[in-house]
Amino acid sequence: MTPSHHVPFDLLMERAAGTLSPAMALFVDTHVALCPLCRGQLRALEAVGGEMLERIAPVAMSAGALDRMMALIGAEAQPRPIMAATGMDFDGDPAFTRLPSVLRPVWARSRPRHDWRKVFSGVSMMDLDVPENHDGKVLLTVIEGDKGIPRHSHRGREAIIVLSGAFQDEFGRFGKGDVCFCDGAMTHKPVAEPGEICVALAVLELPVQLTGVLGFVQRVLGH
Amino acid sequence: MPFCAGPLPHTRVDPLTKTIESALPLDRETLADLVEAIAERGDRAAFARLFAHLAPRLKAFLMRLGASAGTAEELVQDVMLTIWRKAASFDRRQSSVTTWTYTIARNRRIDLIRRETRPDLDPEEPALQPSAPVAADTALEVERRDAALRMAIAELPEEQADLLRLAYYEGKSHSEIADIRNLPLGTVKSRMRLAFNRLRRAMEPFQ
Repeated sequence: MTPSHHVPFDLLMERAAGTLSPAMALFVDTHVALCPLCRGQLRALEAVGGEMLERIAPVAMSAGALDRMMALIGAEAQPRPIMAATGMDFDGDPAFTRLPSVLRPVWARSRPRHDWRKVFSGVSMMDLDVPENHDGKVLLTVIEGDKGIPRHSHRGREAIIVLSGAFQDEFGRFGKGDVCFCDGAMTHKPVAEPGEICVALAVLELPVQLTGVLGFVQRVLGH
Repeated sequence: MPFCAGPLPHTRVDPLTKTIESALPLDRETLADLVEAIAERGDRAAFARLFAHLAPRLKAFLMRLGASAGTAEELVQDVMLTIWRKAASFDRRQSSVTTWTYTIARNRRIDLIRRETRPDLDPEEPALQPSAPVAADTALEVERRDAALRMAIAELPEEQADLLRLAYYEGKSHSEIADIRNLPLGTVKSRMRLAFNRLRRAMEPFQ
């Protein structure tokens, strides 16, 4: 099913030009992997990049560059055939099988260093290692059916994309591939639909601030 | 021997890049044939021709993005090595060789210039994933789309072309562009959108 909440066109433009942070680039790539409509738009914007590369005034390579290049590939007998998806050990992780392929290598490199943490009843989170992400976090979140995250506000901006299942909050229903953006001004209380677990990717600029009693606990704990 | 000749007899000033444009030495179909020859039989002569066409453009592109000549050449080598290894993931029905190369270079630049490390080639790199097969007639559509795009880029008003150059050639984010041009961020975003709407309209009949 095609997602109904898309990434804004600005983000597609910046993704095509390569000017997003690695975390937001991953976010856009994830949406695009799940959304044929935005994939088509991104491909068109990348064609603009290709056209820009084609029409740039060339700068001659230094003498011997071709020889060095040929020596480099000479060490490789034949181009390698495309490898099938690497058989990663996913420990029966229920989230892994629901990840689009663009997220699987990120999961694989993060998993040895990060565990799933039970954050609330029926809600687990795992950090993903994304380079150059100093002032934020990239999280995988699993919410069991009918469970939810208590009402919270955001100190920074947060971008969420659903990878599997669906959740609902005050702003609507978010199913596979749907994105939503939260900022400091809004609070919400996402609850997974009954049945299938809801797996989501969240890119946070700053830690989420819980409101209410849990927020007090969070502040005391110094997160 | 340098890999790019000087300006050819039939040249004109490109309104977008503000450079003398020489006749294209290799056309789209030839480039795609070369990549396929690499994929099918590890054709080294085809690779050398591809290198002669792409390397000087990639070097120029990476230097515009702020790489020194030395770093740019290293990155070019890196991108070309990726092309050699992953030629089989190129699909001429999906994109042109230059667009495919652009996405590889863009992603490697993000990895390397920003991180300043040399991570191993990511076998799951999105640009290198085999894409879903498309109907045969879309190949021609993609080609027509690129031709329409080329025309539309050349006809962009200067204030919009300027922003495209800053984004694609200099790697500036929208907010950095707002600072550089002393424009409100909203103006930058709306001009960008105007530019892309024009380009999109030009491409629309072919999608």
